[in-house]
Amino acid sequence: MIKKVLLASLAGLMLSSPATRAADTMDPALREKARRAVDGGLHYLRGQQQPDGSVLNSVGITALSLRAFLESHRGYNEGDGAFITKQVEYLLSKVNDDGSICESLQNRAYNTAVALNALAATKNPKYADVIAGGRKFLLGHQIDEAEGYKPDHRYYGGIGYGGDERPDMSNTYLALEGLKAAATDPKDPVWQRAMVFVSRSQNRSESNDQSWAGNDGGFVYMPGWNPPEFANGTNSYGGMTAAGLISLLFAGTDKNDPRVQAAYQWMTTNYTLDVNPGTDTKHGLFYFYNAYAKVMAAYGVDEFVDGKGQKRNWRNEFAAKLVSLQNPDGSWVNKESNKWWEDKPQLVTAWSVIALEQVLK
Amino acid sequence: MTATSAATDGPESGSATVASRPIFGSLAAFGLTALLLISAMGAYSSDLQGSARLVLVTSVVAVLSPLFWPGRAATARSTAWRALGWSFAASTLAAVAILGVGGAQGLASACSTLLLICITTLGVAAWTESLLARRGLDSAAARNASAWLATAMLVITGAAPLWLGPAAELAAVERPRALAAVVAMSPLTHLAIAGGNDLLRNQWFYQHSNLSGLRFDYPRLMPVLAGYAAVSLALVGVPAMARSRRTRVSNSTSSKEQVP
Repeated sequence: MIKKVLLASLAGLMLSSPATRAADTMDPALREKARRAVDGGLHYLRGQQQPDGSVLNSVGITALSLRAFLESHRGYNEGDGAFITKQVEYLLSKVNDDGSICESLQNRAYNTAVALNALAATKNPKYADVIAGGRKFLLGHQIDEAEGYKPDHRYYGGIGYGGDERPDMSNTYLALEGLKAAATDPKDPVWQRAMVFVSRSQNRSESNDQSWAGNDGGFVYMPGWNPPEFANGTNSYGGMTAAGLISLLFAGTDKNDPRVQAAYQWMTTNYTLDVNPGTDTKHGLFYFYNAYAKVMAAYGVDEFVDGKGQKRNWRNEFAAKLVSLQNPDGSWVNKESNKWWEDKPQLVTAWSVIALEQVLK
Repeated sequence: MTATSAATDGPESGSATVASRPIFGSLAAFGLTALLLISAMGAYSSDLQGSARLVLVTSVVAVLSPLFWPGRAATARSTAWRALGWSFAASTLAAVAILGVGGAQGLASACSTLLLICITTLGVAAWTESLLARRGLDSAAARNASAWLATAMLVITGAAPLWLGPAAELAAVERPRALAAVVAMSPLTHLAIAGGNDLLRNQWFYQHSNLSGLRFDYPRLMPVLAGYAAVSLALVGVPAMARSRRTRVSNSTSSKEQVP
């Protein structure tokens, strides 16, 4: 009897652990390859650390690298040595009086958001004040009445790079991710305000009051505009649809909400890992991979039928794709586009490792 | 567009009172044009963030400054004082235009940078005017040509991230610092970093510059200001001091000769 109870408890524990859920639908051989790819990526990142702990002298890339280590299947933490603690120290050395965590004028909100994720991933209560300061900075950076914008303005609720007030879907998603990592109260008005901006970036006229809005359920970079690199007007594309969908989930929007359903439908219908979906280009491809893995893991459905009626298992296909793109030195880089820093292997490797960690969850 | 009758004023001619009218006239025209242009370009639109407004106002004032400046004076020393005074007036004009809509963080820093940019630009204008005059151009033509040349120089270097961006992107494959170099050479960048604005990620630049999606670093403000100060000193200060020294030496020689 005791044996039966123990076995049942063990089985229950295994079924409830995220690793087991991933393992349930994932090819074990691919899972092993993905783990090795993560190890290779982390090895590469470790070799890229400067004596001050930074990677490329960038708070953003260092924070992503740190997060990649802390969230890996290896379970690294600050007790593992200087390759972790020096990265933390570098981030802490870039905390500014206004709460932002950034080495320069550029990308203050972006850097602060990814640094919050990394510092929160340490699970070290020592950084609570820094995290609170960063949260305050991001909250203050949201476009709202404090900056003279009314709710009917297309910028309202959005968050931009940080040096200006031009918001976009990408930075808004990263800021929301940072705010979530910083344990921001789910009832804080920041989420509702953000949802105004997020809804206005979705091609769904039922919930988007902008005149340009279409109805395919995907997302654009910012209300009424996409980067000129895509030359696709206000058509939805993969990177932003993943960012939009995960923003909805971060804000606690129910999975049955029609905005969530429409975005998920777009993701599955337009599924491809060869280009940034919805475009013919590889611009922002690894950004898409990173956001895609996060949102699919958060959405919690492993198998779906794509727009061509083909059954897909995203964990298997995603792992196989990233493993195939890894360089012999363990790094990843976008060989076909230098847009948005994707020619920097340090950044792309950190993104890819984090993405694979989502697959392995 | 430049004032035409101020080049001959100076302590020697005793015509400062006569020359002050066109200077103040030019100043008034400068102020009015700048304010109209600033408004027309949407500086007071509620869509524009404070730091972008600083960049817009200071850059418009910087570009107009050499076009309206009355040209060099009779002596290098007077020219130096005129350039300083005109630059100070330009900076004050920008500050007033910003303060008119409630001010902005970074105002002092942006106006100080504008002051140095104006002194440098006017120094270039004065030097070019002197060069053209020595080549036989009449004073009014030399003044106009130098004003336009200085303005063109400012606009071309200011817009470098736009027109040199694609070349920098190609060069960056082998020389990654090419991107930062192109960004750093623009006076518009200098005004932006002084005003706390992430210039290339502003809506307009994000749409029109290829650099916005690439990795580059903005220059630090203090070395930029030091650079402007050094160039200003070379273009405006050194000639004025050299002339004063020559005058003192000449006076001293004359007085010695008078000793019986």
